[in-house]
Amino acid sequence: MRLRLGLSLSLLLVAMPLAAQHAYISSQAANKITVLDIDTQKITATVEVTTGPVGVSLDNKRHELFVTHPEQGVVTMIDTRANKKLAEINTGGQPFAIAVDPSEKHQVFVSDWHRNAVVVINPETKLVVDLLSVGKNPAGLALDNATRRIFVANRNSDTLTVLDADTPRQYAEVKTGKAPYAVAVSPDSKHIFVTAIQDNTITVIDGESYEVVKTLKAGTAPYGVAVTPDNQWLFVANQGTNDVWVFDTETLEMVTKIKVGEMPETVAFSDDSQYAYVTNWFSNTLSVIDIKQQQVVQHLPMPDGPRSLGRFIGD
Amino acid sequence: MKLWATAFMASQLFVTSLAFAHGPTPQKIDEKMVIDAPVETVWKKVSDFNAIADWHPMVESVTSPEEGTRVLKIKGKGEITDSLDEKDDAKHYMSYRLLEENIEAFPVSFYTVSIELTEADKGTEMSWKGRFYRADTGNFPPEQYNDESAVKAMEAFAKTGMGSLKESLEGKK
Repeated sequence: MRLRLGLSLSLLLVAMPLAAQHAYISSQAANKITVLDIDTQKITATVEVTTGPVGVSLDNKRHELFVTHPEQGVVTMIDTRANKKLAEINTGGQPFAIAVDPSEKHQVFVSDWHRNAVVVINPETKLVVDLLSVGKNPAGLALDNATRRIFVANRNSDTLTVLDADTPRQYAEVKTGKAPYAVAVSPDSKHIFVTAIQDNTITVIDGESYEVVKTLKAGTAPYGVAVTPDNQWLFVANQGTNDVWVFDTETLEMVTKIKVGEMPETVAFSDDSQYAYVTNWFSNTLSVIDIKQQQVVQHLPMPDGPRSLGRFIGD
Repeated sequence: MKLWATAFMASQLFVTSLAFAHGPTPQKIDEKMVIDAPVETVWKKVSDFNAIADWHPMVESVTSPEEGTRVLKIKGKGEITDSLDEKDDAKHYMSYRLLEENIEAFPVSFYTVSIELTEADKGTEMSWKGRFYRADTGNFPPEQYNDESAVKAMEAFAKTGMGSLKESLEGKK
């Protein structure tokens, strides 16, 4: 009986299709969000938004996408089931990177380049509820739900600020490379990775002590950084060398370089860690990388200026 | 009280001017020109990082304080400094970035530029690509420091440079 139950359960799992995954690509110069079905590699929708969309973050639970517009001081909120604009939230300043809190708390964190702060938004009231002071010109931002920490790369202070997601508290300000841009936290919360555009490095920071454990050499002008969901590989998009460098997260050694489009900006992965997606800002494409084969299997055309700073793949 | 207010305003101004350095929203140029001359001939001119004044009419003179760094005196204006990132003789490819801006001389706060030569039917196709930020990266830039002015300046610099190279190498001077 037990065996049977086990069998039927596994059959059920096989038969049940996984929730369809989508990539949401912000095109800065075309003022569009392109929605791509990950399984079929087909564009399923295009959402028109206001000027200069850059950062994106998904709320899979509530089926919402948040998009920053630094030039407008606005964050757009989109319903991802209908692919319809729900609201424009006025933040002021220059909202840049964004992260939705995946916990029960309905809050969204946004780095504000101009005001040197992290803006906290309540998406229900559509109001800014807090403004947390960070370093100069904060760019990339990541939220780790397991540790409830927020990590902010301060572009012109050469530091990473560590904040609490629940109380306005700062834990650390860690020295990074020159002009830090994007931040990624490993799925096991052990390491924080920060790219530095001007000295071509990736700072590896311990997730508990917030001490720098290693500095990795990247290509020219490393921008986007991300770790595969299975925690095996670290991907870094180098804008100057038009490639992605892949590091083993265990050894922190580089394993391969993969040529992508021109001026790649950000990287995100399918949930099963099989494919990586890279936005190429200059050549207006999305590169699809087969992670096992370590090569580009497709170049999909995108509207002008694809950026999508943040984890741009979700349900 | 008045003194305090003045000091406060001055500090606000200082904060604003700091934000000039780099911005959140880059612009791009993608210029191409065919030059009726062999790739190697064009490359010889273009790849000499400190010799740009020899072929670019908008550059008055160049000094190089150290290897891979060049200070350009913009004709009739001030100086800006470039830093070489990559030079690949086999691929006829080079890239450099703005190291020290001077928005009075050139209304761009930061750029990266890549130049590449490829063989064309008739000589060489020269490609000049740039990613850059306007001079005032705040959300309310004055006209001379906005995106339009930055794009115009970058385009003019690329087009004038390539046009002048074309003229001199094709012998129509």
